[in-house]
Amino acid sequence: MAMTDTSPEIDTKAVVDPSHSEVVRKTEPTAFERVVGSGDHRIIGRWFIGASLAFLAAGTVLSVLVDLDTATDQSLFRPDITARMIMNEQVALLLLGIVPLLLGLAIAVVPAQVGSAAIAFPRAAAASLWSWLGASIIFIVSVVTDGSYGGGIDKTARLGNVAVGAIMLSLCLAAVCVAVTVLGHRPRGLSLDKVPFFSFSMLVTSTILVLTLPASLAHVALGQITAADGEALATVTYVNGLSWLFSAPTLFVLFIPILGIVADVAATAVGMALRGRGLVQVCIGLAGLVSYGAWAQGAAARSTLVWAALVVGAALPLLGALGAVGDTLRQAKPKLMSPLAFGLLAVVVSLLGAGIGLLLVIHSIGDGEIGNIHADLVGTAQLRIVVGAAAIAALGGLFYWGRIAFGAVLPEMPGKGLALLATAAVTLWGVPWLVAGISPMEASIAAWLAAAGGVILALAVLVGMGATILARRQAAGGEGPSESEWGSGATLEWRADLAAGVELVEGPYPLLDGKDAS
Amino acid sequence: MSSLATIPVGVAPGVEPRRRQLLLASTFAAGGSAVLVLTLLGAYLQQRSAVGDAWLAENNIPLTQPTMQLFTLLMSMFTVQWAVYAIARDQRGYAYLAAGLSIMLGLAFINQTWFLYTRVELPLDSTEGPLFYAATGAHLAMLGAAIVLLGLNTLRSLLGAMSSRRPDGFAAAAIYWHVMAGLYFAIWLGVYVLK
Repeated sequence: MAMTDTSPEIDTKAVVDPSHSEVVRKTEPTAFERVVGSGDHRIIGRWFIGASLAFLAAGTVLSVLVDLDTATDQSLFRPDITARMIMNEQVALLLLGIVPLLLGLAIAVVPAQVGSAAIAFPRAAAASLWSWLGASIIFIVSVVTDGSYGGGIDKTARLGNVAVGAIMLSLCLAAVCVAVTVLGHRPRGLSLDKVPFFSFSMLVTSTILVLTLPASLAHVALGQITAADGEALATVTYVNGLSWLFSAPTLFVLFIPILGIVADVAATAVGMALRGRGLVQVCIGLAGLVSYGAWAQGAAARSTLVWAALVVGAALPLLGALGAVGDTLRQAKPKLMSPLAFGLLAVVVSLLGAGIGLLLVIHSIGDGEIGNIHADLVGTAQLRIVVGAAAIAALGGLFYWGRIAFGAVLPEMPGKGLALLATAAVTLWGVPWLVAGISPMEASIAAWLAAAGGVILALAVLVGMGATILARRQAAGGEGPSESEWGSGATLEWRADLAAGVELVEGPYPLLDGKDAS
Repeated sequence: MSSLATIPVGVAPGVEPRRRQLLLASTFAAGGSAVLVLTLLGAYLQQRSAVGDAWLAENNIPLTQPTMQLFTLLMSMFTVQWAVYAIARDQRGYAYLAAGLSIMLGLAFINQTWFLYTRVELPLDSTEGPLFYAATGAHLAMLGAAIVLLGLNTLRSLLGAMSSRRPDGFAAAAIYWHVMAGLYFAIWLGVYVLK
């Protein structure tokens, strides 16, 4: 039996002792064993989603603390503590929050979207979850105990650095599982140009992550070799090796799944094939090309013409996909479904995030002399708006694929309210820093407003998390509606029997009847 | 059992769908590893450029061992590809021989690296040391992973899990091996030749 085979349930006692005639009851795994030992992609995805939502809320709260400190004229924390919180808040938002949230959604949904009964390398996917979760907890402990980047205790500072490396490796492993599922688990007939948009976008996102995170991992390793304390780690690893992850163009990798989610939702909203399918796929590919930023690790690279072109060009795929989605939505009266609200608002917020890149380019070209732009503040605004846009889209994905991922639909009406609330929160969380970065607005005013936005966003994320827990409990108890108010989509994840694989597919919308499926 | 008995003996076994999972995963892993090693090499070159003539002024890294290592890996690229060729034609004996030779050449490379490290005597607390060991050490770790991958697939083949119908294991190991060997050329050029 190969290691990848499922162990047959043999009554060992009966085999060893033929005289043993009593029928021995097979040992049922406990709930804990079922969760930890599971290779079911839905369970793995749900754990990724739940934990990353909690971490995303925690990272947002950390940003609120930083904002409150700024608002009160640095009276809450010592300057070194504030600096430590800023660095680790960014790590938490990206590597503990939004990236694993999107990967978790993909792990839960992508196999079903491509007609597969399971994810590629289910044990590797489970390993990526538990190693990511363990490393994330170690990272949080190290931050709390005055460690990680900028930390005062050397041992916990280095521990935090190791945890970040382990988190990156785990996320790479999860990304490989997702990408291989899209490439290798498709049924006959489902060529890449017919793959649902979310799966296609996660293929591109995963590829970019696999080719980006190891570049940061290299600096984590260098920091572990050369830096003896938290202060040195802040310079060697954070400034040289991580800070570029949190800025354009690398940050724009979060745009890619947003496009995938909104394109899939739009087709369901109008009940017909998305118009301009090829254009949207080109836009998703272009977004991937633009967001590959491992080449722009140094400050010098982030002031070149190529960097400027990529940062400004990031808006193009967003605009192209928005055009195709808009063209589709005007073909028929769209259903007013909450995922559509999430998706469209996420694209609009993303456009704002991409537009901020223009200010950074102007600042770079003018060597800081043009327009009195404070790059640090504008960069903070961009990070928050882009992360926030991805969070809005991911919440939309949870409401859209709730039945697939959690076994029960998420409530539709609160979802619509949550879409508006999350968008308002993200705007309030990021835009004040944008305004403060280009105008003489008082930093304390911006900080108060941003803190309020951060609190609301954390609450919105927690509400989304609560909705998923509620749906899961309903599914476990056999309660709750099994069908959304807006029905279901036409791609393979909406087929009746998800446990069975699909053999042959003829078009991108196999469940769509009639002529619109072409 | 009864249904199996009705199949005539002459009917060829069904061909399993080839999802190429291992090949794809190996390609992704090789790409990620390449980015890791190239970033470390880039950091080495950047630091060397910043330091200038003082770089390695007190140390002399010989070129003989690194060049021998390069040729060792070049030979291993042929042998690992031979393993893929052999298993695709059900020549299991040759496949084992080729895989064994590749693993032996990989171990020889590790031995040569160890010898080189003892010759160089570059301290870790120097400016050059951490970057030198990080770049070459990361590649060494990649070689270790390639040896383990090839070894595991050889073991699986011995247990009958690979044949011309399922040759992907050796092919996946070979992809990773070739990328690893190609990266050594960059290290050989950047660290040892242009020192």
